[in-house]
Amino acid sequence: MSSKKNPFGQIIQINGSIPKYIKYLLYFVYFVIFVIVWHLNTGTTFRPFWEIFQSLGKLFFPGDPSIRSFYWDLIDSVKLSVWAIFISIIITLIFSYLSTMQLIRPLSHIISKGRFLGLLGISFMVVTSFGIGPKMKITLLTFGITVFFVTSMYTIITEIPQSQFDYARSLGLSELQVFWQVVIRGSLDQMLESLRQNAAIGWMMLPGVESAVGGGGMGFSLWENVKHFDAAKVLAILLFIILIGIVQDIILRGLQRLLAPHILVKK
Amino acid sequence: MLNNNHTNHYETNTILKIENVNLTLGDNHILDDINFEIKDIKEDGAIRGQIRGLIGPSGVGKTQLLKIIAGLNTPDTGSVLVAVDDKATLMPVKAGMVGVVAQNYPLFEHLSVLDNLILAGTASKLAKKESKEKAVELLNRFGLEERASFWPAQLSGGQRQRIAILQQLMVERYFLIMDEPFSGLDPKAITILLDFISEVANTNELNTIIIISHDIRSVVISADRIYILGRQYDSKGNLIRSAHITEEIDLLEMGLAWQDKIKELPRFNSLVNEIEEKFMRI
Repeated sequence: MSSKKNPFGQIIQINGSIPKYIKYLLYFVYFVIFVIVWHLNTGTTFRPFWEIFQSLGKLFFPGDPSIRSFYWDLIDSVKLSVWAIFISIIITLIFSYLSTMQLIRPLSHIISKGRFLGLLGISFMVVTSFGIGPKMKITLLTFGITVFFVTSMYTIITEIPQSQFDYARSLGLSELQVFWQVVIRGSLDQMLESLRQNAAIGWMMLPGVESAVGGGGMGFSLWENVKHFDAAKVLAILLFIILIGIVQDIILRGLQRLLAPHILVKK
Repeated sequence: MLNNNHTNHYETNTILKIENVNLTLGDNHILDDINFEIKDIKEDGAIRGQIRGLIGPSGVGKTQLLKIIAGLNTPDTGSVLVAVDDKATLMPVKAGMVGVVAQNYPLFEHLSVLDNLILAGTASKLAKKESKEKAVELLNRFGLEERASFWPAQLSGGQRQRIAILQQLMVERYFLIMDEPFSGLDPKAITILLDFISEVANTNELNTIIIISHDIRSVVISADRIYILGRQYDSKGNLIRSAHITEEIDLLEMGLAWQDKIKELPRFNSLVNEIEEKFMRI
């Protein structure tokens, strides 16, 4: 006797397995529900879609040469984010990879505790050190990403089992080769996964940093429109923030698959 | 008198020597004065590597001894000397001189099967081209050539174990320790592995495989000599002496080594039973 699994029944099964078309159908259904709920609640906060898209046009093409196009805010924010991620990667990798040495381990541990300091706490130190300006934005954002990135990388590196090091040494690999194959290449897939998560945290912090410091960027533009209670423009900017965040995530995911293709097999 | 066809064997040079090895971890004295040596066994007209079994109950210190023999850990006192050339010149062991196949068959997950083997070859000072040739030759010889481009995660447990052994064979040396190689394998897989171990051992006269296990039957089938690692207790169950070699069993002299149909020999079953009984006391 054979019984065929009902794919629609599987959607409420724990760990059920469904074909791709049902997966996409579910996304579509949720999207439709979202649009309906939004439409039914249109008011002060939830502006009509046409108004949001109209505002998006106004943001990019303000019509008045004295008003800065949102395009430049977008460029500023992306540049700021890329720089902050780049600097965070360098700081994090130096400290986390060197955490394999007991000498450096306490330092990485202390840096990771910086995540409890909060952006306001660090802002005070940055302002007193550098003053308010572009350096403050990059410092705050880099700090925000680094403390979380170091935390996850510290765990990844220090949890590499001793047996992996023994295995590499039993093959006669030099200490440098052991470091390269076990620590750097062996944890590359997890490092890129951690980078993805922390870059997303950084992107989430970015509007806050830009609005607090000022001087351009999407966060600054967002705050300006919040102050003027222009809900359509606020929503248009938020839409862009989400879209670019998703693009950033897709790029980092692609990088992960390119540099660590074996993870595709595991999954 | 031997009751098998392998009567023309004799021992020659010492190729591995363990002298007065002691190890304490924290307050626990783990290994107590471990001494044994392995000599090259020769048989006229055949290439005979050595297969030694090291058996002992769980938690007795087998893995600690493995690490010391492999040069991955240093004992408190004592030394391990291993042969480094065909003349059996003995040198103090260093990491890399003795191969280890751990219980979970580790491989570099980010490298393909072929690249795993090539890396081991280049670590052994082979040029990349030579290393690749040797890797392909080994894969072909042991029927694993179709797995060359696979990632380790794509291999079955048995394939992974054999690749892990081949990776160790890429390194120019004579010694390989296998930690619990029969664990989790079904009878068919154990038979395949036993043949594989025997074939690997007999590729060079000095090749020596030390099997660390508590699967007594499989060790008796494969080994030419067995060392029992155990503790000594008094009649009240108090520990008198930490792990040491309690007994050495020469299977070759008993006519039980190198036998294709060992399981049919009455002495085989009685020896397995004897060892099992000894396990209860150590």
